[in-house]
Amino acid sequence: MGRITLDKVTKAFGEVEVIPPLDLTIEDGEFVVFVGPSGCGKSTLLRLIAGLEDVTSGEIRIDSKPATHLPPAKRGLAMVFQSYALYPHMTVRKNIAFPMKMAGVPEDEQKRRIDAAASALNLTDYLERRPGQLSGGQRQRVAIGRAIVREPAAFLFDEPLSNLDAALRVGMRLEISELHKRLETTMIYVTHDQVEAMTMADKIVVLQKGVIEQVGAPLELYNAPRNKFVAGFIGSPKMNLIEGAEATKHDAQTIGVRPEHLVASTTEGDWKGKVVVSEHLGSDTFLHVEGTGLAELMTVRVGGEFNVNHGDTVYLTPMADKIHRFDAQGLRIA
Amino acid sequence: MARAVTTQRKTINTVIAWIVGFLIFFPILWIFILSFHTEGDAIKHPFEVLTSRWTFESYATVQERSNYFRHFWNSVVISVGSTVIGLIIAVPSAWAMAFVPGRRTKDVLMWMLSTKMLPPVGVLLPIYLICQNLGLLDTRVALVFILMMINLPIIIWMLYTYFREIPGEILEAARMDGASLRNEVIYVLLPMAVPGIASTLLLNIILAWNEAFWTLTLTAAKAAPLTAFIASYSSPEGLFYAKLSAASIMAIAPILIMGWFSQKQLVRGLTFGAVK
Amino acid sequence: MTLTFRALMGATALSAVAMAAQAQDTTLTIATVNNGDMIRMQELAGAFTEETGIALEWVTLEENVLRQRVTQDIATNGGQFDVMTIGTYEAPIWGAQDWLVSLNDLPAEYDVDDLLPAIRNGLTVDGELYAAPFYGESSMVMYRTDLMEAAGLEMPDAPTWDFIKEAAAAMTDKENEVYGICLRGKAGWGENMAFLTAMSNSYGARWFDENWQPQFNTDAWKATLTDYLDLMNNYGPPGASSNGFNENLALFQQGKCGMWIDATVAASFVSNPTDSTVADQVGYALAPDNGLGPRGNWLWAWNLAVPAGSDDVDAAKQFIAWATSKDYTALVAENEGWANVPPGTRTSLYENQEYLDAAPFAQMTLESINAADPTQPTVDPVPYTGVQFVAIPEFQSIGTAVGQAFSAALAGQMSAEDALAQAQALTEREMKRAGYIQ
Repeated sequence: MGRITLDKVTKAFGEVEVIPPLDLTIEDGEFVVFVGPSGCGKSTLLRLIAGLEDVTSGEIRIDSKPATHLPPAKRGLAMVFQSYALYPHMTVRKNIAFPMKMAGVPEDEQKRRIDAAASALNLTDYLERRPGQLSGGQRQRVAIGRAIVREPAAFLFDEPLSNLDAALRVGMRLEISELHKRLETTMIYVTHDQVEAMTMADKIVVLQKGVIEQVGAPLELYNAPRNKFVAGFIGSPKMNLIEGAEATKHDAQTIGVRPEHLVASTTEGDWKGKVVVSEHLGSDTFLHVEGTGLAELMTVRVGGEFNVNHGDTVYLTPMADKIHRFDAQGLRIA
Repeated sequence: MARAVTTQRKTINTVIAWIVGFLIFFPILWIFILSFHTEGDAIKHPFEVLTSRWTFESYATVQERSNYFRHFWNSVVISVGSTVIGLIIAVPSAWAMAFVPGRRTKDVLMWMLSTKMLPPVGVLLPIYLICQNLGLLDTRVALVFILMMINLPIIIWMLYTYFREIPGEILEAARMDGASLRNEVIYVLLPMAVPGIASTLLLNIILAWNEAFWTLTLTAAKAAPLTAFIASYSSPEGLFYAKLSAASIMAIAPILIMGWFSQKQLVRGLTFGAVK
Repeated sequence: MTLTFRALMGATALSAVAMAAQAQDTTLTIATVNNGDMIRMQELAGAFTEETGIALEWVTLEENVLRQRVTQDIATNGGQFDVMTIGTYEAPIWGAQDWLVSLNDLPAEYDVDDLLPAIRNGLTVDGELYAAPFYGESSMVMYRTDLMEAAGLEMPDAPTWDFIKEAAAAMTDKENEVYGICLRGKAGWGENMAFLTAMSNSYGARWFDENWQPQFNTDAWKATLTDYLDLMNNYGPPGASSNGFNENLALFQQGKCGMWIDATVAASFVSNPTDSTVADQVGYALAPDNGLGPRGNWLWAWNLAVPAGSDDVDAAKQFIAWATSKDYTALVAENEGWANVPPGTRTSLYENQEYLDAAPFAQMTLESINAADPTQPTVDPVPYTGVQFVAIPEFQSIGTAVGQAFSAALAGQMSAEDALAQAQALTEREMKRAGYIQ
């Protein structure tokens, strides 16, 4: 149904190559998240798949059929935009009906699908309203409804939650995940937020400067980042990266330890430092420690009951089996 | 956000605004007043004009002497025709420039605007001769075409500005939703641009309605619009203020009425379009 | 959306229909100026259409716009007009260019010999009559009989400039907004220069000598301009440098002018009681002279002519023969009274007692017209025709430029000497450029 293959796809805007040759396969029914810092080419990649941008070279296949030169309308994909991109002059009902109207779906079938989508998305009471009269979350659901009724081969999401406030974002994240479970349709989801990537994805594609740094399941990326960039990008707070003598001890150029893999003590440990800031979240406390001589600032996760203040001395000890080692090229040493 | 403005300041500003408004409107008001007096009264001292007898005489004379309806109809055909044809050409052009800009788009836009900087009289002779050779002198076809060409840069610029206000993602959404280019324009772009298109339409009808250089130069009798109708009441010998005023009022009345009605339309259109 | 679209389509369709519905039979398009006699002709022309079946389309324009439009059309052989209203300035120039159709073959009953010789001569080039006069006019003195009496003076039939000066001084009462004399001051070849050129003739001045050398450096021109400026500065209304025919007419009708020297056609306006507050206190006299022979009056006629590009020459000639005939005069007299017939074109009109009775200014008009000779306008011989103009194509721009200098002198922006020097320099330059002089 929704297997998408990219074969040596490149994209250049004028002289600037934003995507060097890139191969990627997205299996049918997979929830794939493209993640990376802004400007990494993830949105461009999505738009190439959608057909909103033309590839410079290479080939895109959808369901093994060449789609490189198909216009977006013919690719059988649906897209949800960051700004929702609802048609402001149409009611919610007409917005949702629009793709079906374009596809020539019979009226009664249109109505059936609209009603189904509306009840699934809690929009039944708002069908006669215009987008301007809806809240952000409702608009987002209308955009999703408009995508669902097309029964597309794949859904494309372009940072759909970044315009919502934090609380709504968590709710919508769940809704989209549930939707995926129910529909079992391929979804490609672009975000710069690694939390969204970790929580939603079957498969994460980490991009930097148009290059795929690593592809894998969320925990694979967490446990075995292929390079320093992925190590730093996946996981929150960020992994502590240490160079110099301490790294050499482990036969590496750089070693990395996640904040949750450091044990802190007020009395003893491998590395001594001073607390700069302690962030108390209740369940956890994050300590930012300086003066260890290893890195400018180290982050440590400790239990909520661990009580230190600014200026206190702490000792940090890494869990031996949780140390990531990277060579001079920044690649992981297995 | 509200800014703190003292009542006194507000009053002063209001008074100034009304005075400026009145000064700008005054010539039209005076034409209106003169049109209701006899020629003899119309050249009197302004205060005497106001106190002298009011009469429809000038309107009756003008009505009798000229075929008002023919001029009116010519004006309608020329202004509406040129604007509508202009819009038909301008919508795709503005679409291309607003949504698929190329490296030269800005230059093209500037170049189009630059054609408005040429004084019309500079191209009078070639255009006159072309019309003459094609047998188009004194025809509405020629004026529709020429006024369309003259106003096209403005139409394209206005539409371009309005189109640029429309988020590109909405058009991309339409494309993703399976709309062909034609459907994208008809179902999504045009309805969203309705207020912009309406004001473009109105402004250009008004511009074409009031155009007095080409309409006077290229017409004689058959295609002469209301501008020629007004011009025929100006005279270096004898009294003509009252009749000229009456003719002017008759010429601007239709466009004023249209403007007044469509003003409401426009406001409604604009609030409707403010949804984003 | 659909509604808007339908409306647009409807409008387009309507215009298409409207365009299709404009074919017709023999129709003459006539370009004319907006003045009383021409408007009256439009109203009466139904009779012509009834008689001949020839339909008429009128294009009425203000004089300057008409001149521009008609020139454009005739110079490009545009063929938009079948009959044109042209002045005595254009007729000889365009006739010489072969832009006009000769009217020598008008029928015998037209009685071409009845046309006033002064007018007819101005419209004839090498023996070909190129335009038929519709109405003719000269200029004369119109004055307030009551003010003249109060000043203890009596206007002679043929006053001199000295008398005009004396009368202007005696009649001026600036406190009561009464000015002794109103004259044209607005710049333009057909505005202040028409008056000043005519005035200069009576001072023995001329635009050019026989070799086309400009003559503004002569004493005659200096005397003309000095006297004009003295009259206007001492006895004229304020802001005179922007006054033309209409402004002076308004002033005179409101009783603010003692004397006004302008077109004879003004007589019917100032003597019309509905528009004029001084209608029954107006007297007329010939334009002044200086005892040198020529008087300071001009000669102008609006004429009908057929442009060479017309595709209905015969019908056009038929119309012209009708509109400038004795029968048309009778038709106007029958419908509107004798006072309203177009004056100044035919001898027979001035032999008609009914007309002489109805138009008190008739005799004065005839004498004024007869007193002007376009081929010999001033004391010394000239190489051009025209009384208050020089019938060469370059005159419009030269005349207007000189007019601006003289208007500036009237406004006090330069002295008479400077204005004349400027006029001389620019005329010399233009005449050299045009190849008249080396």
